[in-house]
Amino acid sequence: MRTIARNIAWSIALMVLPSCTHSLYHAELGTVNSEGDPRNSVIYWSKTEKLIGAPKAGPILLMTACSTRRIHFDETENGIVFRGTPGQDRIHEQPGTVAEGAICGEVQSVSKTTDLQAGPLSLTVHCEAMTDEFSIRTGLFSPSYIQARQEPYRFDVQEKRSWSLLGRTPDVPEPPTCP
Amino acid sequence: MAVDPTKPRTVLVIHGVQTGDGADLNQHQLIKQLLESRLGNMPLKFTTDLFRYEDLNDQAQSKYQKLIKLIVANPVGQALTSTAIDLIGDVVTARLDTSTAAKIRQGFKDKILEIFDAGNPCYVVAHSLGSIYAFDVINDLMSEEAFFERQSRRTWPVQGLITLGSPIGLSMFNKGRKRVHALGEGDKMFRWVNYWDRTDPVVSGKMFGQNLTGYEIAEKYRSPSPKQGWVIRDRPVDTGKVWLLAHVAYWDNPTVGDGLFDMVTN
Repeated sequence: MRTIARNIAWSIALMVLPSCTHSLYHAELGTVNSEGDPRNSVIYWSKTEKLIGAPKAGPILLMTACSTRRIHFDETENGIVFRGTPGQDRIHEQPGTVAEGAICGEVQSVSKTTDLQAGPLSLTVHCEAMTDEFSIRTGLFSPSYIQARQEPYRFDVQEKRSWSLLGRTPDVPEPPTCP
Repeated sequence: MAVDPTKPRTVLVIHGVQTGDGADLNQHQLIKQLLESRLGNMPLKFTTDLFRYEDLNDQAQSKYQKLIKLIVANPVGQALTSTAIDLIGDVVTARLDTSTAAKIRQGFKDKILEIFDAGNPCYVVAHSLGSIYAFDVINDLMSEEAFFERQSRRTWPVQGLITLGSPIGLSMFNKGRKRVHALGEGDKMFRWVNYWDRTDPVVSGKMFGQNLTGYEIAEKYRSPSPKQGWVIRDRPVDTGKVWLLAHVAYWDNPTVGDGLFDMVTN
């Protein structure tokens, strides 16, 4: 009897230990792109918490309608930042491209993606897209992304929670539709 | 030949540790589905292709397989041991400077040059040990006079590299991979994005999938020299899965898909 109970306890433990709680954070905002065209922007990231061990999350993705660029806000030693790519980004109203590693935007107030919660999220964008002959421009699509500006964008982030036994691929929002 | 930026993009996939033979592999189909799922309503013309090398690995390991069959009489034990040989053999093949590894590198290089000759912009997605081969071959191509003139992306047989669950941070792969090949003077940048899950044991080398902290795996190759010409990004990604399941969860991860979309369209 004791053996059966112990086996049941082990079985339950083995089933529960790898189980995960998943959070998908997302928000949409009416914005304009660097060319001044009205374009919705969508932000999302996921977080997975295990019964044992540290949670993991990110990166944060920012998608602008009709943009071929998907902006990543990476967690780094300098906070959660959008690192510009030389040849692809430039600081707004400045000549030339960004230097490698230049910060083109940042999430304010929080330095770890796992600490972010639902509710207001402020982030800044300082750069705009550059193009070369390999940048695809078709119809309204171009690399142009959410407009650089001094004041932060404020997203109202929603959270969707779910649970799984062995983990689950995050179910993220679709890219915003290009009109 | 030169790359024509108006031609459809080709995403060339190189797989990692596998069991079974080349016919079992379909990662290029997974990448196709992933990219299609992140296009939104953009009409992007692209194809995906896969470089298969598992048959070469299996040939190299066949003498060990035969030995195992002699040693292990029990069919279940034989199957398990055979699978282990298959997986470990892949690692050893990639780590050591074997003739099989050289054949794999040459085969992958030929595949890249086939796409280059057709003029399609090529983007490489490399998983697990495949990332070691991709790293070697791309750097080798950069060292050849005929390719990778920095100011002309039309001379680049590979436009960008995405690695998934790469073990390149492990010391066992350090030999001969201390730095990337510098592109020289200019301002065009070769992009390498390295996606990894913090619990992926192949990335961390931690058998039980303990969380890997810190931020640098591929970025250890970054150099302050403007002549390097590489943009290297480590991107820890939450795959929603843990341990070995995390190692094979990149193929359908939408964050990876968005990163691939960003690279392929620019």
